[in-house]
Amino acid sequence: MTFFKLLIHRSSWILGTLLLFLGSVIYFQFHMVSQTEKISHQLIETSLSEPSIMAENIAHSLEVIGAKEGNLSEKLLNDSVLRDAVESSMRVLKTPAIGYIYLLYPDGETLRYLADASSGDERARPGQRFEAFDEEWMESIRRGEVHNIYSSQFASIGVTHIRPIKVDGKVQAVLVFDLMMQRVEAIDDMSAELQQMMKITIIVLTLIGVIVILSAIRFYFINSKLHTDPLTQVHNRNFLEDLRASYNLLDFHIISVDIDHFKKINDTFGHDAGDVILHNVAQIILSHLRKRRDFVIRMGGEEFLLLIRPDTSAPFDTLSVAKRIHNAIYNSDMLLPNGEEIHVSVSMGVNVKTKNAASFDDALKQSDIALYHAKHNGRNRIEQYEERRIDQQVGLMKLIDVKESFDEDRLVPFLQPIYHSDNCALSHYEMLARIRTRDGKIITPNYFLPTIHSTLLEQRLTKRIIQSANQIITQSPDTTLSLNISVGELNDNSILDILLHEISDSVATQMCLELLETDMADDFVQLGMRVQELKEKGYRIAIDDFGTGYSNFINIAQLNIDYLKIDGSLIRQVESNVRTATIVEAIQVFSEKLGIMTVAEFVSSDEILHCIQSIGINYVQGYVLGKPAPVDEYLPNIAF
Amino acid sequence: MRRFLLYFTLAANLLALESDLKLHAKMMDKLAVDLVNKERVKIYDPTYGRSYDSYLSQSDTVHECSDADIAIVSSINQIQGCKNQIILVTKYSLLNELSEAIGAFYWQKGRPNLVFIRSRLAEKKVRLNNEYAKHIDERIY
Repeated sequence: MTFFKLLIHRSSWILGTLLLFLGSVIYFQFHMVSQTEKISHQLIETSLSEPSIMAENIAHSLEVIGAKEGNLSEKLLNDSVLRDAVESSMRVLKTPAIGYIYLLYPDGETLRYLADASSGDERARPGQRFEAFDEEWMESIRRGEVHNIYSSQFASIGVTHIRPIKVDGKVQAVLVFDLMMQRVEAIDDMSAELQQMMKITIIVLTLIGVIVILSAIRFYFINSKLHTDPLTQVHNRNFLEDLRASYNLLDFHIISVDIDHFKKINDTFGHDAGDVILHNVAQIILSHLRKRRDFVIRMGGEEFLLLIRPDTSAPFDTLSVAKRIHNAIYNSDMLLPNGEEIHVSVSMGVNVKTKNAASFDDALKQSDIALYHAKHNGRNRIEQYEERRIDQQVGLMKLIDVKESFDEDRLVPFLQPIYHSDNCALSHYEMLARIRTRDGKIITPNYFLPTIHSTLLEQRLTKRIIQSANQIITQSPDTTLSLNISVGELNDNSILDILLHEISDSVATQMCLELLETDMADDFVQLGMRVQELKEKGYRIAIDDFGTGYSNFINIAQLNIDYLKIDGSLIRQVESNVRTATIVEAIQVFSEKLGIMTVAEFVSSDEILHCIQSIGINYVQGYVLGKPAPVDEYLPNIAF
Repeated sequence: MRRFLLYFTLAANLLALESDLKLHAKMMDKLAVDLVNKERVKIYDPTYGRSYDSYLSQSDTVHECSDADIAIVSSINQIQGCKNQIILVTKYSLLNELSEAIGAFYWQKGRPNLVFIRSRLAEKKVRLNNEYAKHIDERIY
């Protein structure tokens, strides 16, 4: 999009400001001209005011004489003494600005001099004709009103002031003085200078204004770039930070969106295809939101954050919006650069209870928890964050409480024994994490793992568990421990570094790393490489909760793992459900053929144990044989 | 008369921004043609010489009064060499001193003024059209 298209497309407010600014400049320009003309006129009027007051006094005296004599012009024409006296009084008005002062009388349509305060060649004789070029002269006499004639006819005369002298309501004469053009020109020059200064001021202000507006436009575009993800053209994290400053983000509902199996798409079809998917998904999301009311932010990778202004009316209620977006993405054909068309799905976590959150970060975390549930429950679905439901059913700990327990060293490693299935002899232990509350209660991971999922606390927990396992094996070299590691953590160099470089080879051979199957579906190629590195170090690898995720037998076979831990949901029904038992048998047969050992967890009764033993599962773990307990209960000689 | 005034006013207005010299020249041009009744009139104006030639459209200025059809003078001395030319003066007071002058075309108080004396017009057998009626006085004041 070109600069100007972008300008028009995105910046109607900038154009509005520009038009307003230009309008203001034009208005001020015209206003300035009229104002300076007004000032100029007022200055001229001021120059006239003092002599006109004096002229008024003289005129009044002449009116008195006229009233007394009856005919003023006849009296003055014939009485040279009186005329001299009048001319003397008229000379009082004489200043450099007032060039001529004279008294005229109408003689039919002609004006003639009665008296003249001028001297030399400029002095007119009584009765001499006065050439009135302007109709305003006679009009002023007819109306009998004081009048100023702004002369544009002659080079030396600026304004002529006419004061009619009325006797018995009839104009018998007019007292006239001329304000010379030099004075008017001086005023005009002053006014012109003022106008010039104001013009320069307006030009300077205009330039400053233009610079400010251009800077604002430039800032807007730089800002837009800084706040826009170039691939998807939606906002990025920077924008979110700015939004925090401008809005109370708790006024928004939050939808966390994650493209399912995106890494797999990238690995299978290439990064160009991944980019197309990201772009298409972003555009579908955008097309379902209201412009300038809702926001889409690409948080990184395949994660999007949607901020929706609450609107309870259909179809804009947040859950309806989420459903429409979910369906639109699921039903869209995504054309890849290689010409293939694929379908993608998204998992969504919706939080409409943002008002209840202590902060936006908490609200965001809650939508992430809902997203976590959506992914955990099989992906391609929407989960809504329900505070009460989660509190009641899951009783999740708050992030701050988990952090405090870590800080106060209340994270407690537990062990649960795993036995050989055939003779129930102890094989090894699974290392589990528990949090001890300040009042001594023990909290199991299902109450805090969702809270810390994908946070630094999750890493901290894993590091602590690895450290504890290392201590136990170091002190008891014959003990084998199974640890839970998320697939995501294997991509985290800090965890991988510990496993590969800080743990000794002898300890590594006594450790089994359990990877959650539901975490694995995205990237088997990379996972395979990691598993290989760890196996070369000596670790054994188990797939945990097998049977609930999406990994297929080929992938499992290629991973070169040591153990398959069959998911508890299958084990619990193995004795009561024939189909489940068949599945478990199939897993056992498959594993046996590949040389993979099987572990049945959640063995909670003797009936299940017997069933498992009859199927031929290699190891068993569950309450019927041994419950999770603090380390010292199973290994009393170990000191932390 | 009205037409003259109109012309006079119009000319004055049109030439408002021009110099008085130009206004003087334009008015002289008009006066000369109206007074002399010739297609091309020669003006003798020793005060201004030929300085306003470029503003004249129907007349020309000459150096010698004897070559002119009309003379406009500002002193008695300037009529030496004149014969039967129509004479105007540039000061009202000169009308008394120069009996040959039929009128005065002069600048006073920054304005141009024109006045003819009826008896002198008759004496010189100069006939003016009605445009100038308002400018004819019966006597010199």
